[in-house]
Amino acid sequence: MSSAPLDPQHPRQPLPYLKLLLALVAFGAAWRLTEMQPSALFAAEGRRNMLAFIGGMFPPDLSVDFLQRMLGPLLTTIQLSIAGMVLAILIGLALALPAARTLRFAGVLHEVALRRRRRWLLAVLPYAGARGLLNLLRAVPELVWALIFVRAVGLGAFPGVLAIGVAYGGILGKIYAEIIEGVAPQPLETLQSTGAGKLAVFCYGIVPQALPHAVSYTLYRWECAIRASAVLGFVGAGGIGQEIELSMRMFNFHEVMTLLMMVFGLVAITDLISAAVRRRLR
Amino acid sequence: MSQAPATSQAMSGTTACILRLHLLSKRFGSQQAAVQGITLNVRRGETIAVIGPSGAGKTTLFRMLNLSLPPTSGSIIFAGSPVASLGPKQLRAVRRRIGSIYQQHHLVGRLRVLHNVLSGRLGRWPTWRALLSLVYPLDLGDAAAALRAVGLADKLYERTDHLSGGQQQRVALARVLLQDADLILADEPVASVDPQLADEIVELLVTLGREAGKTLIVSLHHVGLALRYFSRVLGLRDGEITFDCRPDEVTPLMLAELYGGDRVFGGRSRQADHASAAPAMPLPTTCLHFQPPATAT
Amino acid sequence: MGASQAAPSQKFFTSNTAALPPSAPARAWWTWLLALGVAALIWWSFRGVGVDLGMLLGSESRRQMLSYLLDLYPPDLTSATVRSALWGSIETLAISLMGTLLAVLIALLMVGGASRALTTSGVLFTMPGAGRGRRLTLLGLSLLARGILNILRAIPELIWALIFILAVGLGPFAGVLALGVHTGGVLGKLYAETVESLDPQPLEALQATGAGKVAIFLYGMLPQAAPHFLAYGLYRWEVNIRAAAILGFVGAGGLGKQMYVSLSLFHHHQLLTQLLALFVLVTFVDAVSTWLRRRLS
Ligand SMILES: Nc1ncnc2c1ncn2[C@@H]1O[C@H](COP(=O)(O)OP(=O)(O)OP(=O)(O)O)[C@@H](O)[C@H]1O
Ligand SMILES: [Mg+2]
Repeated sequence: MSSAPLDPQHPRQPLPYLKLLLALVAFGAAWRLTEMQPSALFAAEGRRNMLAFIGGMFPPDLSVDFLQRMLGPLLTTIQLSIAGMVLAILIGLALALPAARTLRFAGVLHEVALRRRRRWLLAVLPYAGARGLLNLLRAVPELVWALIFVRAVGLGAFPGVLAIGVAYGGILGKIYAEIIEGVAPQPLETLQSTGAGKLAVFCYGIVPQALPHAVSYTLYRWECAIRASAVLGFVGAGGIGQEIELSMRMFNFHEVMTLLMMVFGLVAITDLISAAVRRRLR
Repeated sequence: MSQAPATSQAMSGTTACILRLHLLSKRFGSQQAAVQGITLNVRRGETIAVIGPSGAGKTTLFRMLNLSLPPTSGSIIFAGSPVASLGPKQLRAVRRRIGSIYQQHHLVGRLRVLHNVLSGRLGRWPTWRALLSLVYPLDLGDAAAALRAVGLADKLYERTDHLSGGQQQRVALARVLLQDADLILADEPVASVDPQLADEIVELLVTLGREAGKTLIVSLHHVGLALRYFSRVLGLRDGEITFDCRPDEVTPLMLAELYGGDRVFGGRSRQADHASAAPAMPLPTTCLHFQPPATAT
Repeated sequence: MGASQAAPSQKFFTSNTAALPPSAPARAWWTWLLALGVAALIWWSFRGVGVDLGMLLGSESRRQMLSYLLDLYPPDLTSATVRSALWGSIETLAISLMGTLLAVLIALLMVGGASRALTTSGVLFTMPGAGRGRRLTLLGLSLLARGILNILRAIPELIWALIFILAVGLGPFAGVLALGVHTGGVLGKLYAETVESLDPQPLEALQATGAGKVAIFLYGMLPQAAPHFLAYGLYRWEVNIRAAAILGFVGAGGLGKQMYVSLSLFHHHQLLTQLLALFVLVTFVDAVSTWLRRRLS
């Protein structure tokens, strides 16, 4: 990029300065808007508060009684993440199938057949609808979904499951569709040329190619879901998050530390599991 | 499933031509046409070799013939019926009667060999059988016999991407055997194997095809093989047929024109090497590795 | 199967069940056990959270949800609400931008210590003149840097926000700090991995010219890694725009704060307006980031 002016193909443009200026203006505006005041970080009072908070977290509360009480919420968090992921996978699959161009109207499976207008429209409409819905589901963060569902169906784990299912369903659906579209087309052409039907081409050609990627990404999302379910508890969706919120409100920072460690432990375990599965899938 | 052979035999009574091409052309975007104005009649049982320099349009032609690519203009008439007018159902039925072996990368690497071979049956199986077979392989005996025919009997349960390039090409061959098509298209089936194996695979393909009375169209970069094993040789260059004759009628001059011209001086290509090397190629007297299926069973 | 029905002369080979292949390698018993285990886990989870199919699909919960969603409609399009939603969006955008910038800064500062390529192995480490003591120091430094990154990453943004609110008070600045610190941990790890997987040859070439460590980093590593650094930064920006909206709920201002108010006070129509604004904002950021990333590659 920096060598651009030397390149005879790209004559020197006056624009870089303009871009720089624009970037600076944007930076200045963002600085003002976010009320940045780095000095506040070093102000005595703030520092004391923060250190008190962080210092208060040590040592973590490892009393047997507390740990026993937290076993339930811990399991709830695991259950919430799994149930939410199952829902997310179902939603993701249901939306990815119409949202994958190569399954509907583009690419090697549609070169010869389906030249007719009406059919083409029939294929494109569900595609557009599914893509729009996926974007909508993805745009709203899971915490906001959780708040909406808490209002809609009441407190408890159910809104948490719905929130993870819906928000992650949107994410998974988009990725699944991309994985399906990214599959090597040559094997599909071969299968089709043997006279195989649509479903057979899907099962013999697309699924084997897409499966490892899809599984691997789903596992990664599961890890995120566990982290998220800790946060969802803050708005009343049960599990460890709710306990963190409670402990914080009671200024029991030792307990907060323990709970955070539990979340890390869970994430680390899922990490191990997904690493093992990925190795086997290769 | 016995319909297809029945119709094909009925057709063979009325016409000796399994395939007719009329002024077939294909143009990608605004480029120069990859295939232009090819008119060709293919009789049942013929074995045709298509030779020509890289970029001549061989792959494009084959993809149109196996109904994967719609022609820009011109018509393809398979077994008496013009394919442009076929509905989706009939399209499948015709595809099932045309077997294809591709240049490369056309197997599903993550499936076991047996599923790739059995996928030759997908045109005939109803969907439920196709799905069931993924879990509980059907027609296993056929798959094993086909693999034995190509000398890979012990690779049945191997994962396909664990095989070498030449072995994968033979798996593709086994799949076509299982498909039992009337017309077999092979696009450079030996591009990625060593000369010895190339010879063996082509001989196997031609022998098996001839014994079963199949029609064969094979594109090759290897002029020696084309002249040795086939009954008819087509020269293709810049999307047009430059010659179409019996192998013994092919002269060095024709080959020089096909591969030569500006190409020889513009940079030596692999194909030019083949062309010049062709006359000196020794003829193998025996085929050691492959047993014809009759002796295998 | 069909071998006996069709005309035998049309077949390549006859199926031979007597010559069946060696039996399939049995799927390992623990594969089935694993499947069973996963199924049990799912069942246990749904039971544990007290969610069943009736709740997911049942008419009662569906009616409840539908009526709530219908209550949201129509969005409040009075100019006051729209204007404040607009301002909130801009503020959220600013938080995400500054947070991501801060994160990139932190990651760049940490990458020197955290990447093995820079400390404990690779060209720079094996440079002559690095004595045993220095090596140990570097090793310790790298472990420390990695530990810090792990902690930054492990604590969710929301918790960081609570901590920083204690330190600097309510407001967007706390949000910027929270995003920056957490994302800094994420990016630091990604950056370190990028640096570790760089092509070592240019680095060795530089070293051979007698360049020092800093020079190698600036002229050999940064140019190679910079596009990846930028791409990761943009990707995290997409994540952070959503996170910035969430941080508003705990007092970091922006769209999130407004949504929190609307939710608490049951201002349904304003909530829908804000949700729409969020949708537009996120879509906009995704599009810009995708566009920039495409231009990078
Ligand atoms: N899908 C496509 N899109 C655009 N152009 C294409 C496409 N497929 C082929 N072409 C062009 O058509 C021409 C003929 O290509 P084709 O693959 O048929 O040649 P070929 O004879 O098979 O060559 P090779 O011996 O190298 O396999 C080439 O110029 C190629 O660039
Ligand atoms: Mg080709």
